[in-house]
Amino acid sequence: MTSRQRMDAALQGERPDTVPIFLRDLTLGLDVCGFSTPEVCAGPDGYNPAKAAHAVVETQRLLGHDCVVGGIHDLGLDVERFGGRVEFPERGIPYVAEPAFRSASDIPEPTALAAAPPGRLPGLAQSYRTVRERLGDEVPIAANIEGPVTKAGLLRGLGALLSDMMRDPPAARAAVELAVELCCEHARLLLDAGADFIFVAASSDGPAAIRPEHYLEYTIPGLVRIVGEARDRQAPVVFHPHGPFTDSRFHHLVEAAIDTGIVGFQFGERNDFALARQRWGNRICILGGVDIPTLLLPGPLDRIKESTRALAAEMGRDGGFILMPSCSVHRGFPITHLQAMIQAAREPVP
Amino acid sequence: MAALEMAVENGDEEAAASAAAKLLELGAVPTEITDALSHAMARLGEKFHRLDVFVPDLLIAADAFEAAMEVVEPVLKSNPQKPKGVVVIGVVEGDIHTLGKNLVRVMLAADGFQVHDLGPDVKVAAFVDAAQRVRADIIALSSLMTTTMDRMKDVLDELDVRGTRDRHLVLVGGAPVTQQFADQIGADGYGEDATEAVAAANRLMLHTHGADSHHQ
Repeated sequence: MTSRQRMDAALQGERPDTVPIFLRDLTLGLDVCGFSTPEVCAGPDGYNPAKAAHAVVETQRLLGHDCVVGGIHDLGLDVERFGGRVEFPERGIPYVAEPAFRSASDIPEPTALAAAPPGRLPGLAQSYRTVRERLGDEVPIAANIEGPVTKAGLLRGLGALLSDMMRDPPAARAAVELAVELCCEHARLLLDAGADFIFVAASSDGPAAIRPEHYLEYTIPGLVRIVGEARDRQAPVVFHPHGPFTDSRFHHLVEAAIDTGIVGFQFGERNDFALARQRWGNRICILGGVDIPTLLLPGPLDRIKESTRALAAEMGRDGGFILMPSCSVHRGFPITHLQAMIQAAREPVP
Repeated sequence: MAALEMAVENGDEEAAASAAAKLLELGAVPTEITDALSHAMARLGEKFHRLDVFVPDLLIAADAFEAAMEVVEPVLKSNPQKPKGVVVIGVVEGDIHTLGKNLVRVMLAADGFQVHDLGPDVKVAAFVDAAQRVRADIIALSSLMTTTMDRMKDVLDELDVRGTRDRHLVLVGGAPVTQQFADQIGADGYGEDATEAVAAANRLMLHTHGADSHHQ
């Protein structure tokens, strides 16, 4: 099977020849190619699509994973477009130094998006196009976009947004509505640039950050919009919120996400994968499984291999599973640890 | 006191400040008021640990706690209490995620620690300088990113280089930080969340120095 066939099979709930691997490496390629962060993300001409695409392609060639994100991703693209400030440490990962909307009254109507400068976004889309050209059709590309509350938290500042949710719900709604427009804009742009599916990265959408009722009020309607945008382009959507979703108190939150029409759910840290498979494995593809803080980062290599082998055998047995680190992978990550994980996952399952 | 505690738990800043003022007017001892505030935050912290409440609840409760403390502090200053311990807290260099650190700061203050907040993106030397300056018992380090976690080890190394490792206990926490990581870098304590961070700080003070003594 090609990587595309492997990923497609797993996303459709089928069993591929071997467990597909998706690293969701967002800035790791910078290390692989020896690029500084500013030279790719914030050079004199803004985002450098040629170097970004090169970093993605070289990383895939080095590690051989089955799916890539089509560019070097940073969280600050939209923050800058609305007047916030992003820092680009020489060898670190870009971060939002000042959010765009310091006060609730700064948040514009979603229609303001039409007049917003595109910023570095066209550069990112160009990277996706170049990756598609260079990798061909055999390696699928994920469009990595932030979730509704996650994006709104970047624009407003997460603490301010969470306080708004409690004290000024109209302001929180305004921020999330704008964020959802942005998510949909990114989805359209990146799918048109060659992405095959949408990966909604939603670290602040879930009980690790927000109340369950806020997830239902803000996240789910936003996810419905994103799934709709993707469906118009025949693209599936995978959702990755943070939180202990396999805790029985939060099962209804997974159900609500599945009801939006997503095809995959990546469970993060502190989740029971056996339970997830048993409860939802016949309805969606389950992604994730390799815990970053307790396994992939500390190692050692033998322990990574042993745990990955066991995970691939257990979760890959019936298909409908894509092996991933528990969250995104960035520069500074020990590449030998990722190689050990991939090597173990590729071993034939007895 | 019940009204004050309820105001804090509900995250009602105005009600908390007003309840604290009313209690002072009625002649309540300021330390009884701070005890009530501490109990309210501790109860909320336990609920948070059990996921009965969530980050937004803690955030607004922290605001209410601080609003009440602003009322009580001027009175307390006339009769200062000995803190449980002195803590220097901050987010390590390269990381600007302050939410978790802020919650730990408020919970530590509510529990009776004197807390010096250095903010986000704090350089290694700045942690150690501040700890020396305020004679901190504990240096509390926060990081939300795997890419900045290693700065925690750098702080420990800097303490070694300066020969002051034995003067300060080091407490670490943040989303990607684990007990295993804390052990690996040689930190003295680890808090999985704000509640656990306070418990760990208390354990450190108790086990290392006895219940009521300072590090230096």
